[in-house]
Amino acid sequence: MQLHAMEKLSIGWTRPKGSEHGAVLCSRARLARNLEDKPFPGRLSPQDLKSVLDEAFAASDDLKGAAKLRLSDLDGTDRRFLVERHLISPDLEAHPAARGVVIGTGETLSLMVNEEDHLRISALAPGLSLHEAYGAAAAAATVLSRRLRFAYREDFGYLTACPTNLGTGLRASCLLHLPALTHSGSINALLARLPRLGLNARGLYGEGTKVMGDLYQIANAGGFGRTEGELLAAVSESARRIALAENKTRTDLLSRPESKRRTEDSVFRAAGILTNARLVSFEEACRHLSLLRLGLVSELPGLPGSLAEVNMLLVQTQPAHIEMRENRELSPAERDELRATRIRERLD
Amino acid sequence: MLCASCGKNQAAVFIQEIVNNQVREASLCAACAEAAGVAAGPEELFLPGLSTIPKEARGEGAPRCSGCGLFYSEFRKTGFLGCPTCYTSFKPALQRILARIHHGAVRHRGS
Ligand SMILES: [Zn+2]
Ligand SMILES: [Zn+2]
Repeated sequence: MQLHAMEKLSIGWTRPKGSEHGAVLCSRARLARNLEDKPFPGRLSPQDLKSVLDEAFAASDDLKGAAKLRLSDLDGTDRRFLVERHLISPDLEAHPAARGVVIGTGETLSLMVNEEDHLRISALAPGLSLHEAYGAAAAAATVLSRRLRFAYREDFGYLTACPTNLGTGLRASCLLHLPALTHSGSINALLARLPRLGLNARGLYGEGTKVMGDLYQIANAGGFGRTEGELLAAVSESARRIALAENKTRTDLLSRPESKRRTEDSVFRAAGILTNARLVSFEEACRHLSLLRLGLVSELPGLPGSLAEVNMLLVQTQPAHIEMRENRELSPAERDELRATRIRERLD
Repeated sequence: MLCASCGKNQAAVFIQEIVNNQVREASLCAACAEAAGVAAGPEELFLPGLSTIPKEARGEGAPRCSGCGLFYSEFRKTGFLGCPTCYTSFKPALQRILARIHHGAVRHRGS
């Protein structure tokens, strides 16, 4: 476990920021880029993959303060920790040979090397701030383009291994916390409208589909023929609309006496478990932290913790984070106990 | 209630996932949930519209990329191209697919 020191670092994007932060935790812009003279990673020999990795690492010398990590040098806990931190994809974690990641200061910038494309540059920003995230990713792409020649043509734009990413190579996404819409059952009607807008929804870890803690990612589904500005505006606009719907549903829940009583009961029960339990699985932590967060966003008096604290706990209670903190591999039961202790300490 | 995954153990964990932009729910046992834990499911490589294009058989004279040697039929199967030159080698077919998956777009716009 080499990344032990990273566990203590604060995570820039968990800071509650902006008027939409109740429902929009963070925004991410990802740019796919490939080197023009090489087959895509899926068709490269191990040796060629390594030379792409070397080239990309050399070019990232120009990114100030960035740390370069070869995934084959890391153990499983380190790699899962990076997935939990949203710095690498589950796919990169599963295939570490000749794969790497460059991480910028504050962990808001990451450059994955030899994922589906040679380079995946991504930037995270707190709250609803896709333009800020895109600005950071585009600036990094410009820096890298000083030493690397990207595959690009006028008619198709940036060339990618999968044609769904072709064009700008941009995937703009927002991580939304939607407990009221989820519990009221109206979430599916909202998500069903996304494809018509050229968008889609995914679960917490992006590439997969699992929903935990009522957290959803919405993003553009491909973007060929649409400009960066159009894509950013489409995702921002939808995220804003969904955030408004969440706020309205939450206000409705708390305005009628009967549903107010039930909602408050759920929120304070969750707070009670989080501040008292001795064994908590990650799945259970997510469920209760989501309810606690709902209560904090609604400003119910008498709850433990703060939004910033709960945002951090959603990250730090993940399994590899618990192991990283202890600096050793743990059984699920040991993790559940340490997770419960950690939550009690932080919410005290 | 029994686990929706193994069908043997008692369900202990309630899981939600998104399939085709809809939230679905399943109850799993502790072991299956731990196995599903952080690891996410495989990414959908689904390209809408691809299945409606007639198949041509792979073999003698089958379309192949001059840059990396990828057969067009391999792309059809996996959804992945092999190299930047594939976009030249398979240009007409790709333009038809792009128009279909990207709402009629045939040309790149943006920086
Ligand atoms: Zn099971
Ligand atoms: Zn090719």
